[in-house]
Amino acid sequence: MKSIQITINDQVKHVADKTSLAHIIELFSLPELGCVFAINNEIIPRSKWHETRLNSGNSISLFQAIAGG
Amino acid sequence: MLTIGDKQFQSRLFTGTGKFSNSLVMAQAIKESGSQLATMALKRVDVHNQDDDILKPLVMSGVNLLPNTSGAKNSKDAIFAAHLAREALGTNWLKLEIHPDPKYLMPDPIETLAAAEQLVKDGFIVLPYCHADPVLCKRLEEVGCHAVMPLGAPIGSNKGVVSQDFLEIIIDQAKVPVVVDAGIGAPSHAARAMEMGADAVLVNTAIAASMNPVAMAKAFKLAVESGRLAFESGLAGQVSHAVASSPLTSFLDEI
Amino acid sequence: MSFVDVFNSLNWDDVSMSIYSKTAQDVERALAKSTRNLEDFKALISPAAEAYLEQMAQLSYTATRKRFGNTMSLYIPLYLSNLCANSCTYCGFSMDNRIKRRTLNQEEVRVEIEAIKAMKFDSVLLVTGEHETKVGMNYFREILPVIKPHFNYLAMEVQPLDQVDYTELKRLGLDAVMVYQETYQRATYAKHHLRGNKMDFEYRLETPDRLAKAGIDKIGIGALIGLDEWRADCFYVAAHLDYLERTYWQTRYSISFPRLRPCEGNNTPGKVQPKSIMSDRQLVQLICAYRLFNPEVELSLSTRESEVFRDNVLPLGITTMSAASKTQPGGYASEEQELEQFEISDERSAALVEQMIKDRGFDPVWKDWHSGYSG
Repeated sequence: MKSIQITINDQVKHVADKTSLAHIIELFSLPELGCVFAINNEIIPRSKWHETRLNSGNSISLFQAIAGG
Repeated sequence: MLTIGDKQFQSRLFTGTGKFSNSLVMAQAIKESGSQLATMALKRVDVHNQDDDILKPLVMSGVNLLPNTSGAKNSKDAIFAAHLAREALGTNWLKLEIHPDPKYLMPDPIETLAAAEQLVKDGFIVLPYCHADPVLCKRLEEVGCHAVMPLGAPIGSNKGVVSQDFLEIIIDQAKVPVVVDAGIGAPSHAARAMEMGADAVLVNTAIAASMNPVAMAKAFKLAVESGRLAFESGLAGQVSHAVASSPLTSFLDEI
Repeated sequence: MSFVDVFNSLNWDDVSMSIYSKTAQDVERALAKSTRNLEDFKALISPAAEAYLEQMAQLSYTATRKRFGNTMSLYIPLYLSNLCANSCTYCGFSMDNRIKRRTLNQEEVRVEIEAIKAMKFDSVLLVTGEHETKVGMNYFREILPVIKPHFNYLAMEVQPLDQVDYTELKRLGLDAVMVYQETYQRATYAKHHLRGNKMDFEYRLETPDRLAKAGIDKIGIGALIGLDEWRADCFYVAAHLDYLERTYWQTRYSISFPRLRPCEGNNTPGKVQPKSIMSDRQLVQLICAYRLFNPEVELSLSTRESEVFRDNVLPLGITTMSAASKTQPGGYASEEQELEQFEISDERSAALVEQMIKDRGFDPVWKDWHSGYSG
């Protein structure tokens, strides 16, 4: 399986081409509760995590609810 | 009972989740405050150094979540942040805050109004944080905001209800609830805002940065309840004696 | 959403009872406040407040000076027509009354304007009966351009119109519209409005909403005091004002308080016995109550009231008054006495009224500078 380079919050990672977002979350033990993922600044709804597949150069942004006023 | 959008609140004290020592203290303080609405921010996760989870204790306690857009410097950022928050937390409630000025954290009225208009169209329940500008508050109300959140004083300043003369005008003219947000530093400030007729207050720093946040949270709870009860009971008011001058109505005795 | 929804949430009898049960303590509390609400207004117009009249007058005097300074605006009514398709028991123009009906043509209007301008007036209130077809939008479209160039401020008191009509009239130069509900008591309203479009209580009630939506600068409301119990009716006026200010926050407002006079004859056209009589003292109380409730609203006193009354009430809260009024079409140009819409009590000339205003330390204002930029 071809390996591609992506970033997760600007950290470089290597994964198999066309890995699903859901699998990426599992692979890197990313938090889910109160979290949202965007790929190249496009928000991916939770319902689409399984079918969304990563391509080379994709930049994943992961946001989480944190303490604030 | 306070109604904003599709929710009803017994408690008129809203709380922030920031500046606490840890999420345990935060959860205890919010519980003690009786607050039913807590704000939180959204941040990129540092995968290797994850933040204290604040969400689980809040969700478990049944507090309503109000994500904010802090960090946004313009309407475009704020709108993106809003959509992120809605997806992340599963709520369309939003505290809109845009402060391009990192020193005083003053809210940008132009970007806020533009973002509010768009976000209302996108189906959000928008609670905009803004300066205590009566015309701005009317404009925000007109574009569909479900409440307005004018500041009492600069964020974190604990100066109290410095903007009270303008808050009075806003409270008088508003057709949506008015939540005094930012600057409240002591329970007496919160009581004062409620006595003036504010529908709710939002308090963060004054609780989180106090020596005993859990006890301070309770003090605020009591202050908000007391201030509201005073408002509803009709304050006696200060007696302003009429100017002693010649009588104005004695002519009625002659006609 | 319109005032009708707010109106339907109020109950006349509850309002009445609430006003009458206000105590001296309620009055004192209301007087001590810096911002007053509708409950305070009830206290201020209640019987309990009568004992506090002098104090109310002092406070009202001060509040008015603070907001308006020592100015007194002057305006004059210009009756364009006495044609009417309504049958209102209290009005001289009722269609049942056999009077000579007249609608001024352009030339006749020009003559009136000349007479009015000679008296220095710059603010005019156009008045007609309410005849939709003969004195409707076609007439207004024709006559407004004749009148507007001569006056800085143009107001109208005619039949309620649709929002689209008001939008058009605004383009033609209309600044303000007065529309009085007469009485907010539905059953009483029905008793006094027996024929014609004016029978439609709710259409009239919603007129200020349509005016505000059309962007008209100033809206005048009021009740004909005496048609029903005056305290409750005036509360409804205050509630109406309150709703309008909150809903249409960029509009200005004006309140009038015409009193139905007790009359001698029973069958004199346009004269009915008032259901409740408001004394001079009570009218002063009402004026002060309005001012204390709302420091910004324009309070207007017409020539229906006597010279002595007007001269003394002037400083207590009034901000605009008419003078030298003639309430029949063509009244300024000719001396011919046709039936007036209502009886004038203060018949002084504009010059005399102006002098009286100055003598009392006020500055008579003929031109409303407010509309300076968008005119």
